[in-house]
Amino acid sequence: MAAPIVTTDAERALADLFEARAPHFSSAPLDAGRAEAFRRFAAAGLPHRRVEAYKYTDLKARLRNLPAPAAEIGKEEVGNALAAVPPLVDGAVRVIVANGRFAALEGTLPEGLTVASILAPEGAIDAIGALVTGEDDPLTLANVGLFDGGAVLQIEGTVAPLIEIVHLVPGDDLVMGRLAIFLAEGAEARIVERFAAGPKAVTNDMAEITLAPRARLNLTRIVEGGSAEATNLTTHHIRLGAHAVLDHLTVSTGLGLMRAQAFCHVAGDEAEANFRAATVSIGKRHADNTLNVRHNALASRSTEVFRSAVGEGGIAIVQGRIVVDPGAQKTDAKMMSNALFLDDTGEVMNKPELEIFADDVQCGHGATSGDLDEDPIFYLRARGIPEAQARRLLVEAFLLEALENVGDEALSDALAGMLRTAIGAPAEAE
Amino acid sequence: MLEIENLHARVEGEGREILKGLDLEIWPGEVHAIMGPNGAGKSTLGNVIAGKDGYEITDGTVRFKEQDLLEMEPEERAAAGIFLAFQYPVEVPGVATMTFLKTALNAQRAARGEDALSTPAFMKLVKEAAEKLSISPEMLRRPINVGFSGGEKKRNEIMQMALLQPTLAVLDETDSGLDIDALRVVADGVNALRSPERSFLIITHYQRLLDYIKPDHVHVLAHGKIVRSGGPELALELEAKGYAEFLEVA
Repeated sequence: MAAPIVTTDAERALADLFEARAPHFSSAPLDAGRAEAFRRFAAAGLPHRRVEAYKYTDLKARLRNLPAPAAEIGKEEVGNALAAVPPLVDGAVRVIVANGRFAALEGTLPEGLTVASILAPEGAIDAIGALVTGEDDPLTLANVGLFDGGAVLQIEGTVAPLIEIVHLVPGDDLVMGRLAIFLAEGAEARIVERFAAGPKAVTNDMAEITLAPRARLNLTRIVEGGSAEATNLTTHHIRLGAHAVLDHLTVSTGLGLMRAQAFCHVAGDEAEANFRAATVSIGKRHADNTLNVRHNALASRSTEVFRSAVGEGGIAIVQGRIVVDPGAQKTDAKMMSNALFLDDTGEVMNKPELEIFADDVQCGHGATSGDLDEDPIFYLRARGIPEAQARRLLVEAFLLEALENVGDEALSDALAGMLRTAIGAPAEAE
Repeated sequence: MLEIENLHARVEGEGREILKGLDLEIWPGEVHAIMGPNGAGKSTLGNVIAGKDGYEITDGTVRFKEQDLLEMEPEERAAAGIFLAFQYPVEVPGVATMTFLKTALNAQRAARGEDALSTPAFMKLVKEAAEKLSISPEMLRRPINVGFSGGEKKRNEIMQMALLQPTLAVLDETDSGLDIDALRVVADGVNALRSPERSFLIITHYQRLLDYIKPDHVHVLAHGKIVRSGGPELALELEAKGYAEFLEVA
């Protein structure tokens, strides 16, 4: 018989937090849903290595203690913290979520975009919560039970400027922010979500992202770990209507523990979801990309490409699961995970899973891991490029291929610069 | 310029020697052709000169402009003026040809203590070199050699040579896989670079390329050493008679 699971200080702290907050919850639907979600989270506790989806990222062991929950912060402190996080590209409209609460809008609100606090009456949209009903992912349940606040973005028509969502956590606090993003029928937008948190902060953010039929979304999530003691947990729940197109990218660099999850339900016929991830895991970094794509429509497509570069003991985990429901004929789903070892100390775990319950589908997955090829290195050196620079150029090229769908040149350049810096190359390409 | 004496080399970890006492001397402005049957050691010679890993030099010396070439890293050799046009140019996914050319050119300039080229100056150089070899701007934006035809890859090699302006260019079977038109473009590119300061070592299996690039000296490489040297007429003789007699002699 398995030994009973011991409740940790971290789990007790979460239970205490829930007890302390419960009397203040309103009767609004989102608040009403908290108790059931937290009860389900608490019943299993923080996920550990015997939970299949968390076998490589044992949060029960890694999060023995949690920092205190963050308080709401004032405009001045938000402004100060934001000064250290300049916009990635010029002309972006910025949605600032500070300590998990919607705090500010920066830039001119473009036509077609409305933003509200998820706790405000104007943010109370019935559809919020629809993508996480019945969800059993523990990080999602913890967030639904304990979220501090967050933002609701509604998008209609084409929103031209880049929308940059910044999660600010100036201190070393525990924060759970929540987002809900709705793209109306035929709407188009480009969104970047990024995190700037204190060196010992623990964040568990969650977003519900709904694409109505024919909507198109280009979504980039950037997770830069600020220190070896940082913990960044982020979960996207996504639903695509018919003919909707999603280009999703996760870029992760830096130190500490990060788990970037995406649960994508391709629900509409001929919808398309493309997932890319560029991961640099060097040194004290545990980078976990977990993706779960479910197809249950006709002739829908998905592609998944993960590029990971690991070295100096860094760990990269790729869990990719594709489920094709019965009747989801003509599904086309292809997953590829490529890992590059920068030295012989990194670790890469690949766990692809295909569950196919329809017969007329094309699904495949592949994985590679290895060192850089010597032939291209020699080719570059034979043209006068020093070995270290040649290697960096090739590692950079390997990672940058994950940026193929970014589209926006300025954003693509900014992301490339971030990856270059992460592998120790000069920020500007030669 | 290049002095090779009694060069012995083998593939690392293998017992068999590929080069077995090769001697060769090239002076500035000379064009030398090395011909030989498959397996004679032609490509090994090119790779050893360029500094490719995986070969062990068991005896002999290679000096280039009074320096011990064998002590130099491949990038140092390139900066010193050595250029190897690859028999099989390597595909490098993800690295744009333009980025590569600029990085290479400026790395060589930095190694020689020269300032980096400005972007406009670099663009002008590339444009001129590319046009001469019928390389389109679209090809320059593509990753190095990815999706290039055999002819395009070889033209790309010659364009790199034109940009980098080496003092000794080693052409390793540059004619292989080329049709007659492509061969002419490549040969014109090489001939345009001939100068009293620049030397060429043309490694080839067939005489055909030498119809377009006239060598000053022709050598026969068989069983790892040069077994005969002569003028351009030697190439014609080889074309007529084949390599059989050298294989028997050696």
